[in-house]
Amino acid sequence: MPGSAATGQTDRFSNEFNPAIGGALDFLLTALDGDGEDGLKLDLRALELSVNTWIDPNTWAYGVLVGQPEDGVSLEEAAVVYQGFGGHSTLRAGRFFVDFGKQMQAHEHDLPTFERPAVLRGYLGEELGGTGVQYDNWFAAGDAGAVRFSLGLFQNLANAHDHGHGDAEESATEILIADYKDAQDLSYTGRLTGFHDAGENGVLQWGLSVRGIPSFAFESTLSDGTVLGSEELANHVFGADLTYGWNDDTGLKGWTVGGEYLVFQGDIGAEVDDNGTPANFADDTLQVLDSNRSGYYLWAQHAWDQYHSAGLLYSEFEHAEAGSPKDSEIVAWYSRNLTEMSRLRFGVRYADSDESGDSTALLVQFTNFFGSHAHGVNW
Amino acid sequence: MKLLHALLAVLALASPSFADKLKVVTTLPDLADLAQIVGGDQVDVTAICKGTENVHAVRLKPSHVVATSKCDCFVQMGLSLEHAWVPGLLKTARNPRLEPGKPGLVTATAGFAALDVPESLSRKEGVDLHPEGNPHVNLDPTAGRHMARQIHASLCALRPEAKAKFDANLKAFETASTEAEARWKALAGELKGRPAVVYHSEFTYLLRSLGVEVIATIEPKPGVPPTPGHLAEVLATVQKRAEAGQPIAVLTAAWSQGSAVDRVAEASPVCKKVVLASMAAEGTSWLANMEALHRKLAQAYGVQYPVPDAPGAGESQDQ
Repeated sequence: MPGSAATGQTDRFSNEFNPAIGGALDFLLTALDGDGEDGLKLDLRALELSVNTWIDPNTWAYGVLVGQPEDGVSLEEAAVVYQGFGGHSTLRAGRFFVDFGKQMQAHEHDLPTFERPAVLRGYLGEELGGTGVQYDNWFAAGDAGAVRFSLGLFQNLANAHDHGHGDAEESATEILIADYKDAQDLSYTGRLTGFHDAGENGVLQWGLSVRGIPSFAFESTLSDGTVLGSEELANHVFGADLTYGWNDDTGLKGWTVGGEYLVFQGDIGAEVDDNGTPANFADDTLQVLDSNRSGYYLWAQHAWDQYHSAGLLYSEFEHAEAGSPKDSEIVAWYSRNLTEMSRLRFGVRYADSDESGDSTALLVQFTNFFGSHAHGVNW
Repeated sequence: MKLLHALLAVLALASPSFADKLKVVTTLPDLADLAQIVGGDQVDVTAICKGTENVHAVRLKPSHVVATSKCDCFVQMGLSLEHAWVPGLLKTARNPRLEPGKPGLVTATAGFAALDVPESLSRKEGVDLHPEGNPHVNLDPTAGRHMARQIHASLCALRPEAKAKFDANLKAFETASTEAEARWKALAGELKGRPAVVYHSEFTYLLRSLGVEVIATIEPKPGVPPTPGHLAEVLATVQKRAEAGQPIAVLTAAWSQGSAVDRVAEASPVCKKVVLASMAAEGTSWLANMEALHRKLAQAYGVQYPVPDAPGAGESQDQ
């Protein structure tokens, strides 16, 4: 039946199918063979529900609720975005993933592989959401390029990995950030990135990122209840990233290659020193590691049509601990897009750790998107 | 007097109608061609698509964002054809001249009677489902005039002082389009009832205008790749129809010519795979692309084109 075409597309949040409510289901099957744990794990990683809506012509808002069988339901993002300043500037307020590198803003199921590279997990956490405000702007750099920058201030950008300890014995060392603090003690982020045409079918992006925690304390509770602490600490993570993407003339076949180098600097870890007397807690001290550690990841992915792609990622980083123990991982994957809304991914991951030995995991991921699942320009 | 001439010269240079061209960005090259035809020397036109892509999957480049942020007029097809990337582009470009309701934002299919409007909106009916109907209007033989008029209305609103030029340009295009339509209608008389298999539904407008019968669609639903069961049904349908000995065109775009298309094309000696452009290639006119599509279809069925003695038979613009 013919109908009248009255509208085009002007809005990312089409509510033709529902009121811009969308979601994702992400399953992961892992078969692990390692020096530590072994066996199969079937995990519903997330049921994500998202809502996007305009509040007025200059303001839109969104929220993302994530449910996980083991962790319950959490509010992953909830933010208001104001764009009424004119020009290309934006102010975002609320809770949201911070602007760091190319991969930290994305939700896990939107990544090209199963999870974020090991160096990002090690230095920034599996996810880096913060409650705060972020200003964002971009300007043209000639006719074929653009430069974007953002500055963010957050209540707390610490994550469980900041103390630099991965094993259970040392996990009693925690990061503490005051609820109330001076403005200069707020956590912050900054990013500067350039986005340029590279030939007829290519795009080149470079970026510099920083995440700073200017004031925090380490605290460790000993077995006898004694609390050791160290205050007035600060650390930063700096990142430099480069990504090149190329598509053939159909737009469906292409390559993406990229990498990011990170430096973790400042008061990056703390360990309890028992002074050689494990049974005597009275002489224990908390040793803060004030140093630099670094790591990187490199990855490449090839899509040979709209349904099939495969990739390889290598990541290596130094732990924020004395002696700089290293972790590395190599991940290979094949993704089969069953449709635009459904994806099956197979992979293998080999991880080698100076602390916990090596392991091999076979991975199967099944992801479904439903309702509205819209993203803006990825830069 | 010299002073007056100098003053007029300065005014002429300063006048936006003469000194600055309207910057027009279009999604498809077809629209770029029409904008250039209607706008003439008053416009600078940039197309985002090259003409060979799957229009649902276009990788945006920085130059596209910059051009869209600076343009006076943005022309899209609409009907959700470019829904995967135009909303993000417009949101990022943040160009106040392109806000909905302003003359700078043109939806070329606005007011066009779309085909295949779904009766219910559910993903069960297809992943690549367009709520307002089949969006591949650019391949309708009558669409050129419709889209050109939409662009004309916008340009007249943006630069009323050049309306006479735009009117004349539109009229010239409509004359050329009408002549071409006469040739295409003559071909329709030859192709009516001929069987075709398509991969996706991008050629619906073209095929219906010619009366070509689509006996099977390789995608079971829009945006869903063929399942083994569905492909077996398609092959059975094609083999049965092939018994009549009539040529069957297996039509595909450049992006969708995969193994499933090849299997169908090899199902019978009477089948012939034909790769058709779903939009004009960069630098090719809309009329020339439509002419090429008609010629290819005629060749696929062994019909002479232009049809001898048809009106406008000598005016073919094929390249």
